[in-house]
Amino acid sequence: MKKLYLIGMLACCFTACKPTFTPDAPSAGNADFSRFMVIGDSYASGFADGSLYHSAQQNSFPAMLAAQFKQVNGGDFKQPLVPGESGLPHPKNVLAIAAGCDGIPSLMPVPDSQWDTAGNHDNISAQGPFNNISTPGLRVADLMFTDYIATLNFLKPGELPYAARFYNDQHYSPLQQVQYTRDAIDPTFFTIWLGFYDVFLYAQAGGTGSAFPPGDPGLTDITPLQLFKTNYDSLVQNMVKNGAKGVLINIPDILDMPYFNTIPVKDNNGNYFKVKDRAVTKNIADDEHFLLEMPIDSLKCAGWGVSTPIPDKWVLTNVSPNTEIDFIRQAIASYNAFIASEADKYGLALVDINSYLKTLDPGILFNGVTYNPKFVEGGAYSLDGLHFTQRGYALVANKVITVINSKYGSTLPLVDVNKYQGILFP
Amino acid sequence: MKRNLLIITLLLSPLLSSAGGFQLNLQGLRQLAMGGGGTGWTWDASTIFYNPGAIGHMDGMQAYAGVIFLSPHTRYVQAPTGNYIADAQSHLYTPFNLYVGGPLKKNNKIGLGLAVYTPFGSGIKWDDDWAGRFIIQEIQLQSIFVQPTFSYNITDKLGLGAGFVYGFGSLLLRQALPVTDANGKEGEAQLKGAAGGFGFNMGLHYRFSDKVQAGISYRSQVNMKVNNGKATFTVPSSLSDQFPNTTFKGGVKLPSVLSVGIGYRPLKALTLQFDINLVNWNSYDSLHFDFAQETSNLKDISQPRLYKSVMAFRIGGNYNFGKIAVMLGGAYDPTPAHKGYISPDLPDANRIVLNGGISYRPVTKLSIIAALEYQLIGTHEDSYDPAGFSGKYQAKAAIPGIGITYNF
Repeated sequence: MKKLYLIGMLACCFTACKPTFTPDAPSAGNADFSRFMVIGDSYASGFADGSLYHSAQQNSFPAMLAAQFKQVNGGDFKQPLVPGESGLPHPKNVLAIAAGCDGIPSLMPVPDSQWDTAGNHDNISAQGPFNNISTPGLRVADLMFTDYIATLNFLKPGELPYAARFYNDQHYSPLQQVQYTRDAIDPTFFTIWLGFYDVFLYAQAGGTGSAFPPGDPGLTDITPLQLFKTNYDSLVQNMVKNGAKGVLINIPDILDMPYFNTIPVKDNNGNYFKVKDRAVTKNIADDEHFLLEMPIDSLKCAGWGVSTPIPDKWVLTNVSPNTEIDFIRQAIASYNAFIASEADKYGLALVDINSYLKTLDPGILFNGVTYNPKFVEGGAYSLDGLHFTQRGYALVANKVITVINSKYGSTLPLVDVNKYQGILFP
Repeated sequence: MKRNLLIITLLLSPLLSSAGGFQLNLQGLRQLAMGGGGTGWTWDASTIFYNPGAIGHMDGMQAYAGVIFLSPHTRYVQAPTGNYIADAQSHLYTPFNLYVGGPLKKNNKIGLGLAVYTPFGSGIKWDDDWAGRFIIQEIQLQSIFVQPTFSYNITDKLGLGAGFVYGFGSLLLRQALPVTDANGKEGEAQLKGAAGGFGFNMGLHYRFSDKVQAGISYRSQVNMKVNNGKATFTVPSSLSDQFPNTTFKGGVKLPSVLSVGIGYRPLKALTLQFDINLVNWNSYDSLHFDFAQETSNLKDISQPRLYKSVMAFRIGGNYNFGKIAVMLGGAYDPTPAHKGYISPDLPDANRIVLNGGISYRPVTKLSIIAALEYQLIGTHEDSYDPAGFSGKYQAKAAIPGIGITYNF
């Protein structure tokens, strides 16, 4: 009798006592995610580590969104993937221990040694239509620009334009490609994340361009607000034309990015580096910024900043009347005010990614890992100091999902940020 | 960008969050079968644990051995919606009890006892690649208490007893570190060490009549210290100087428990009992690990636990049918963890416990007792805010045990 009793108890332990519950299924709310279209620049393309490469594109934040959409009523999601891991147009950055000019080995980003570029130059538009037509380098200012590929979409002269890989007509303006794709896909849901390059190109040139260009902005200028408004509104109008719902994502504060905050303004002795600001030589101030792409060996070994002032193009200063930093801040603020009014006007969801990314300092905590905006160690930004790691993009995806859920009454689950690749250490 | 400027800010903070909330109320089989109380009524030699003051009220010297089979099953699922499920790996734990003791002679005022038991323990092992791996992959905490005990009957009715407690045990903890090498392999931290501490257990027991007994007992806090633990880090080679293998000091303060119990025998065959435990978990307000070698990335760990003291209620009865007795009972055992501090290393929740058991006395001197506890812990959605981790948990445990007593 006792034996039976014991066996009964043990049987209970190993079968009936196992939890069997499952997660609640997500729902779409009043949104239809079945045909999803993405318009953006490098951020929405999956660009990371200074280049566009296959695995990072596969894990672009729109691809993460599409995977969550698929758990409710979402459909397939096609992106114009580059075939290789090396990157387009040049090898992505990887971390390595390398000796600097001073002979001291340091952990630093260096170009990846692999070079699998086969197929990078093919036009793959026949494989489309692509749900994600995000194009690295694209500005709001460029939207109406016919012959965009031939004229504007390059990083450096002679390098292959990203748009050339998948535009259905090499003479299209970006807006024409949007219209073509929209008509081919008939999207029910879309995201737009543009505006970064309208201000970043000016910052990347160290503020040597014009903050208030009289005509069309050049590739070192800030886009005039009126042009930004006209083009952006036209884009949104085109997207909501057939009743699609969607999300507008605003512009981050680029000056918070490690690209502008990694090289210290003081030397090891606590003295401020000397910089050239237009014609004037001055000491850099605490709230001014060196660019990450500055030749660091010149700083370490060639006396830059001490005997030779650091050239204007590597530094953002804020000296009146040429208050570069204020110009950048003002441009972002006014673009973002307009994006918010557009969301309001068309009844779209607004993702204030600007405010969200501010919370990276002191840190965004996810499942035991803290992400902050520091270069390399912070985990959120990739090895170009501007774009995110896949984990950083997952944080963005989660923010977008949170906003979609609250706007459209859906219950999409968040993605597991730590499932994606972060910084890889040698 | 110099290597020595690179500071990885890792969240090592929720390193050890267990040990709390895992009081094992499994020190006597008959008591287990009656909801876990035993402060008021003198049942057998396990009273050395439940109330040392009652040793003198035992019928005579007794030896007692028991073992309990604990195999909890815990599941985590993504919440509020999702498709992610993680099951903790099953593992069988076997807390045990050994007691020898009783009055030196019948009606002697002096009683002696020796107890070896496992009052606290915890363990959970998740898959190494699960979503909460940066908080916990595996934790195993074991403690064994040895308690020599002396009792004295001040009057026929009033007994006083006290025991010295030496606790020893071990700690093992593993968690992933958020540093990934070129092959995609994540880092890992492992903390391992032997722990030890001292305390006492004392009690008063009063026999109002043959029908009514009551008692009060106090088991002190035991500060289980780890003095020479080993911390081992597996990290990408470029970061190895930032994570040196080192030793650590630390520990867990196991809480004091104040118990009051009463037993009542309305019929010759029927005994009812009721216990209240006040478990002073607020001794456990933070957890500290002190690494012998620190770097800019590896700092001492001090993390909030903020446990609160809780009161547990236990009720049960025993009915004798000659050589066979059956027991039934239940308890309400609330969690000491605050909302927002429920970690996946111990996804604790308020629990309702149902118990039953049977004993058989084939010969006068010998008894065999079997008991079963079933814990009802509802599905609960909880978060561990210090790590930004949340989800739904469900735990189920049926806990069988068996014991034997022999009267000299």
